[in-house]
Amino acid sequence: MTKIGIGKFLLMFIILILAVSTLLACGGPEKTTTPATTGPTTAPTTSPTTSPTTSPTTTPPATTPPDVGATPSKPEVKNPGTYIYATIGPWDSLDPAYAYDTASGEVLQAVYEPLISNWETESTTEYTPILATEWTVSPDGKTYRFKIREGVTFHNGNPLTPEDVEYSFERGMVQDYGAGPQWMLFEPLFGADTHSSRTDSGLIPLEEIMSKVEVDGQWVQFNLAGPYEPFLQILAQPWGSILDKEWCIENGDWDGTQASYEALNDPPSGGSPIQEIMNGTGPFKLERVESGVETVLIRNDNYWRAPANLERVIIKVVDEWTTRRLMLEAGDADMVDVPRAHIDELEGVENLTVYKDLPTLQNTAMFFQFAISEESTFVGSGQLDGNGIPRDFFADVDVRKGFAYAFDYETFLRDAFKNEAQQIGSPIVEGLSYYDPNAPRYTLDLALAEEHLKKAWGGQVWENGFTLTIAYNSGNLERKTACEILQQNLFSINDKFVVRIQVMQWPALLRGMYASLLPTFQIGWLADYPDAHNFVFPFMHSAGTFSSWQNYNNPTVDALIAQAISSASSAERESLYRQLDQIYYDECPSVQEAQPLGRRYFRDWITGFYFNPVIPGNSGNLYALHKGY
Amino acid sequence: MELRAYILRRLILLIPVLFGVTILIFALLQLFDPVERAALYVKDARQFGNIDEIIERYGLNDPVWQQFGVWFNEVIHGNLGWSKVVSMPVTRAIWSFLPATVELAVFAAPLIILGGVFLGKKAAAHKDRTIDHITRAGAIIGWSLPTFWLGLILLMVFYGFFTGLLPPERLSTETSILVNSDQFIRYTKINTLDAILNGNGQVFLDALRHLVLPVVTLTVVNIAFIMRLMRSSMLEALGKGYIFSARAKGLSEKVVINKHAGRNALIPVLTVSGYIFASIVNGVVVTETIFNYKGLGWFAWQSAINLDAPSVLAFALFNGILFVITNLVVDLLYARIDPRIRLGASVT
Amino acid sequence: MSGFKYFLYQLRRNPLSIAGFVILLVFVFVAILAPVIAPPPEGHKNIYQIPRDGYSPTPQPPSEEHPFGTTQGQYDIYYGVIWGTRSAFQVGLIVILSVLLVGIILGSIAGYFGGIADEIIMRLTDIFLAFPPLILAMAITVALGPSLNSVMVALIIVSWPAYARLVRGDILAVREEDYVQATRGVGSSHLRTIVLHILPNSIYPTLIMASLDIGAVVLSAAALSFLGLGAPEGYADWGQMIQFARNWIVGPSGNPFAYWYAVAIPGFFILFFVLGWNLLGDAFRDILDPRLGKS
Repeated sequence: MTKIGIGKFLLMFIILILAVSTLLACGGPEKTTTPATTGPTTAPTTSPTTSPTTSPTTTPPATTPPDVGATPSKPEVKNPGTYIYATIGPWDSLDPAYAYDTASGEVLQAVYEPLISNWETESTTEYTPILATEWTVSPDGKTYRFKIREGVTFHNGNPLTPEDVEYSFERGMVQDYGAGPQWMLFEPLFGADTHSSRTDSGLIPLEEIMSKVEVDGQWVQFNLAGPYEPFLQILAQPWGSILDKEWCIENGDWDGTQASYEALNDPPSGGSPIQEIMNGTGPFKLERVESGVETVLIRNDNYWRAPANLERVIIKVVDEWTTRRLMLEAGDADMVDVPRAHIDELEGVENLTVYKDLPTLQNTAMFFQFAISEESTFVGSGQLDGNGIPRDFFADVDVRKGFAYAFDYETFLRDAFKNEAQQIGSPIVEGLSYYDPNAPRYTLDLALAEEHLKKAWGGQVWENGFTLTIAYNSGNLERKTACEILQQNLFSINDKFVVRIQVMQWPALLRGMYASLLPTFQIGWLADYPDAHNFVFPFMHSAGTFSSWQNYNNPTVDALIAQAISSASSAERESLYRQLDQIYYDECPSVQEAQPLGRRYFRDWITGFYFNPVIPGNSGNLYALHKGY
Repeated sequence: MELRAYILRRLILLIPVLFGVTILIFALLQLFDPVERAALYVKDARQFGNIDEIIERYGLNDPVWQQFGVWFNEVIHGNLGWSKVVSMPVTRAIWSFLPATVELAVFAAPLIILGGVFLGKKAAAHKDRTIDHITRAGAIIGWSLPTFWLGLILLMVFYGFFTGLLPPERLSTETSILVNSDQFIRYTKINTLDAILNGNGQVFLDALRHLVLPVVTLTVVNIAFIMRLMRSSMLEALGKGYIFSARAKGLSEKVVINKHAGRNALIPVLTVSGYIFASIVNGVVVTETIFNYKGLGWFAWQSAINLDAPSVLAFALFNGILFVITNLVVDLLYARIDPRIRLGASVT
Repeated sequence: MSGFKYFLYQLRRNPLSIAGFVILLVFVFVAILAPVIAPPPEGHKNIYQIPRDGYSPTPQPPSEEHPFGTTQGQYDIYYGVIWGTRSAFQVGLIVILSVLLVGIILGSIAGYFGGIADEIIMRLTDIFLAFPPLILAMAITVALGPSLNSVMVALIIVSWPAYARLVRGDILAVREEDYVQATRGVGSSHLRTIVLHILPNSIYPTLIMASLDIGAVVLSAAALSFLGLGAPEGYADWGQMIQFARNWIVGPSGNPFAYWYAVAIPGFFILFFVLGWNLLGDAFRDILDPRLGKS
């Protein structure tokens, strides 16, 4: 041991650190100002003035900047020109044909551009030209033609050509990542039964893929298999982004040949360099990525429109809510994700702009399993003897209705969602085309629940009672609450109705749903594009994600869904979706618990936000945002 | 010569350790159904329909030896795979998260170890007197605080109340932009070190300022560990025969405590110190999460809860190398401090 | 001095030891009397499940009905901390005793015999130390479901190697001491030498670590809860209760301590539990160590 004691060393170390922090706090280069305390006592809030409607003709004006109360003094704008958004999860991929999650979509939409958009205003049905200047749809609804904008360059300086457009879509279908978004192009282009390039008879021939998208001078033409009304909506999303053909091939992507097609098809994660680098035409360029930490975008000064207001966009992943909140309050973040359970804490925080009651295009529902797997351990004795349930317990419609009437929707919305959600009747949520606010729905009615459960299984259910286990994923308090409400209400109807609640880790729960192990499960859907088809299919079609999990199969429903999507008439579609709503209510394969309403919290020096539910992420259109008072 | 052979021998032992770890992880992965492992690739409700394709694509249903074979074949060709949780190659992911963690360890470990040794010695020297009671109670209270509890309180006071005084993350936005520009060369991505190499005082101070809270949190929570170990082994050493003789020889109490007892008391502390340093380098998830100071701990946590096999395997290999080297260093130090321990003791 | 008198003498000499003893005694009583001081409501099936009063996430302050208030999800804090005492003892004792047993057996074999045995055991500890504890905890909670048992299994598997290494290190330091050489010289058996001569002289750092760890297990459980790998929600477990408080530590601006009860009360219980074990550990050490105590 040396002569200098550890104690002295420690003391010096502590003094050094204290000195440094004091120095910085007093007059260091990062001097911060404490916010003035003269702001309004409550944060000014605005709600969007209009909601998207089904009418294709209305054009609601873009939201005017929220009315920020006139305040005598405002804190100095931190990091002017740089928009900082603290979110909760990293993105999956930066390849627009591959990514299928909202965190990726957010970055993609700022860097890449589609031909047209339905998100430049608040309306999801109003289309604006982006990389196409004009377009036509043939009367039979099978041919879509787009005239490609001239004078647009990619971030690397290459000009945009119609060949790039053709290449982008063909490349997407050629790559066709198994868990990616490409099924949305296969369905309209190849017919409703085709969802992938990989068929039972091998890969779809390359010529066939290439025949679907053709260049004709400055125009690009899509040849659909039949009418498909949501096609424009699909093209407007990130998977409709246009890439630079030359740049893709330089980076080892598909070169147009059959061999390359076979090699590239269904690549693993990281299978192409394009998953990590970007070269779009959009208002922002990718400056730097530290995946999991932050993604930095910088303004594209050669943008074909006026350059964006923001000079830089930093999207950070900050897992801890309290940390995000303090960053927002300190002005180190301009916008943060706010968990619903914590909205009260931001009441009264100064210098924030809050947008409330934004109808998100998602829902959450409780599903009944029509044929529980033999392997399931959630059915007790497996018989209707009071200690279990038979595997086809929920095949009896009276059981399903009994459960549906026993659920307390109001309490659920109030306690689990703090009333930031609305009850809906059918899977078609508000904001989708063909939404019906008056769709029939279940309400809490214990008398009716009793009536149905007395009828179920010829009275055996009522007489013997049942025992079953329902599950939720660890950490999901909303779903846990739903389980407990159901448990309590069923028990109050008949004390022989025993519901056990089990918590599972997410992977185990996913398996429970997928392998038909769980008697009931709760899960939600998020829109790919704002059309009713995108919701009725997973919830009701026998091949849909959820209905196939729950072994629900109604040929009439399948036929109605097929008829609705291939119809070119809005009126006919409207009437078909109303029929589906009614069947959903009558058969009750699942119950809609809620459509969550969103909120957005910005520092009030950020303006230009408008709510359009198809924009991925929470910041809205980054091109429209402005920082400064 | 003997020493070099010993070190070499110990390093060769890395191979069975790493192999053992790998086998264990593959065995553990068998606890999971392919669908459970497919959950990693389902990032969004809209991908639920593609679970079959995912299982097929990533061979999750293949026999375990085949999965191991595929992985092993890639590894000996230098490819550790792709980390799904952070969307980059695993090797790059580890290298990109390591500097933050090392920086944290370099600042926190000396404080914890030296501070603990100092306090432990003080307490032992004043056994059962006020200074002993205060030190012990204080250290234990620090130890009893859940890390996230202390971290969040510190953040509230020094970032929330004194707005912006000691912020979370590694650098402030302004500095971060500067550091990533052409005017600054990131040699190591250890910000304080890079700042010195670039001769940029502003970056150095900014990096230091961001380090204060995580370092303080780690120190307060962990110092009791070393302090108590030091205190008890010091007391034990003070009871030994040679201390009596040292005292009898008329050596001053200071010399007795520092030189004779202190040196012997350090042996158990040393073992634990090695682990403390290694476990900080290995990642401190909670601290990293609270202060959004993302390092290996955060990466390992994300890999684990998402069952990201390539990331977990690579992290385990890193972990294995780290621990074998730490143990080696600890054993070498043992031999230096206490010549009675022969190096050969742990080798046949 | 007789053993008991000596014990009393030590206790008197060290007020902190008395404090530790008293604290733990109180906890023992609380654990035993839980059904009396916090009777489960009628029809309550699982006594370790904390009763809920509504579903709202926001904690509610103490009231007549809920003397300590309710935490996130309207779980009664009073019921939770009282019954959580039982969980704390259960987890702390089971985990540490298991780990000590494994650690001492393997550590002394390795340290005493050296050679092949040492090599094998040390490589085994290397493998387990090199093994990421989080993947283990995750694997166990997916396989066994989130429960206190999963937490215990995970903590045991993660902790034993450190103990084995510590015991081994301490034995190495003692092995060459004169008195050990002497016992071996007079023909004492290996087991006898280890149990009677080596362990009593080398075990203290390990026991001190164990005493710290009994309390700390509750903290580890809290850390696992923080990462979503703890007991199921609503289980009477301090670790989880303090984890519930995680998002309420910093109250709304203007009233930063609005939810103090949700944070401070479970924290208070953990603090005193850990403190009690630590102080008691010291007392035992002073009393049990023959050379130190009577000097």
